[in-house]
Amino acid sequence: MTQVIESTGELAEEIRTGWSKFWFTPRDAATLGLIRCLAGCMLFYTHLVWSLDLTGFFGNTGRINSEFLYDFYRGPDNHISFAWSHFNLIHSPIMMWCVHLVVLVILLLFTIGLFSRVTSILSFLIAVSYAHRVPGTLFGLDQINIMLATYLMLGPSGDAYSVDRWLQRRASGVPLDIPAPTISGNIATRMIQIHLCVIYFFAATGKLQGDSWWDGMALWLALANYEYQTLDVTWLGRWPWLINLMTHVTLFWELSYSALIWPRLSRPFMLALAIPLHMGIAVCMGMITFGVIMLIANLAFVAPELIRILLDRRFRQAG
Amino acid sequence: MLHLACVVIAPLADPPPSSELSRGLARIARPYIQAVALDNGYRFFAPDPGPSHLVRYELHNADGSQRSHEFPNRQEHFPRLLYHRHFMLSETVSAIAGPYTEEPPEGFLSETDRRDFYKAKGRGMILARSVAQYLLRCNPEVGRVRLFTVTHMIPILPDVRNGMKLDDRRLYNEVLLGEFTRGDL
Repeated sequence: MTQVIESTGELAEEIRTGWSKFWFTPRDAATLGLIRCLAGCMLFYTHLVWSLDLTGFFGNTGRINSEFLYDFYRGPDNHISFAWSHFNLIHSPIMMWCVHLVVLVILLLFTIGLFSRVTSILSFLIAVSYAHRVPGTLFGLDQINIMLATYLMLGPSGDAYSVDRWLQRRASGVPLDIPAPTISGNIATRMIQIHLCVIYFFAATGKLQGDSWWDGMALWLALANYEYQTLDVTWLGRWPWLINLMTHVTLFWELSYSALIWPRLSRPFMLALAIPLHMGIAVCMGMITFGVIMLIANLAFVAPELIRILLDRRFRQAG
Repeated sequence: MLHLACVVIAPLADPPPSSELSRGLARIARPYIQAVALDNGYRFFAPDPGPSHLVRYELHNADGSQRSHEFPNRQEHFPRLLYHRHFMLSETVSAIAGPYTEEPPEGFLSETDRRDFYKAKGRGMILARSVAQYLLRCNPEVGRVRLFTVTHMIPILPDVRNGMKLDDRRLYNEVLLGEFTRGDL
């Protein structure tokens, strides 16, 4: 009995230590900084493309009217809507354009890392506000854009690879060390990692309900979809076993992601497989933005030390 | 931790099927989930990669002439992200209005189910009407718009190996969503 109590105590202590280590070990901002640069580019591009038909999508007299928004967010049970958007307050096209131009500037500043603390919060608010106004036109890209903006706002994403950092270095007159690792940097990175695991988990378990993911023909259904297709790879149909293999690998990879991405041994393998999988979606199915943003999110699992070695000249020289 | 709980609860509760528990929790957390746009199911290409849905529309002028267009349209919508926005819109229109294009057979539904059917149909047509109104505003010379949902089935592998093209006309199935006039504006 004493042994059981002791073992339970040890286990509880191990869990407590592991929990603290997982969440509260300070982390260098290099990973977050790189994700900010890339996700910022994607946020900027996403909103730049809206410019091509801003009033057609967001205007009061656009494709999606307020009656649909009201019904969509309140649902059949007529709940109160919490899907806020600045577009609910702006109705004049000129005003809409003025705000949109300011939005593009803010996203650009966020991307280059100028006034990062403020622009990261504003970028999150912008991404959510735009998404709430056009619910029928969204897809995975918007979900991942918002997910990354949420956590980049929480962590010190402007502490690395940013104009803010460059200005600090210039003002000090001497080469600065890299900023001290922070707990908030670690929490933000952990949140991206966990959220990504949740996304892949539901993407995979949803597929388990479909016959085509079991009979191995799901990839055919995706590749032979004319409206998605940008690169015709239906010639792969000459080898149905290859279609089957690709389907099984895709499902197995998504299903095992939330488990195998954590051990150091399997992580490089999982990250390496993410590249052909998401680039396949990008190149063959015309969803370049979605494929790329998923890869950007996967960077959360790349250690900041490795990113410093690859991107930071001083580190390469020291190495 | 509450945020992470919401990250899990939201896709657990929606889309259906979902448990009473997850729906109950999502109802409680709804203000936060909706405010920070966590209300996503993440079921990419699930349960099966399905057929595409386009929207074809006919613009009828007062003099009796007419022209037909559809969205998404590769030639018209560039870059690809803009094309995809139109594609998602046509998918949404078809998903929420498409199931109610045909009247249920007489005596097939109970009175309650029949009432629910027409209620859902009414909700489903809101977006279709919104799109039609937009088209009428963009084309002042047009008096009437007819909207169709076009389902583009995916050919099976043996058919493609036997020479069927992905855009073979036999793969398209069109259903009228509704007819809208300037009076609907």
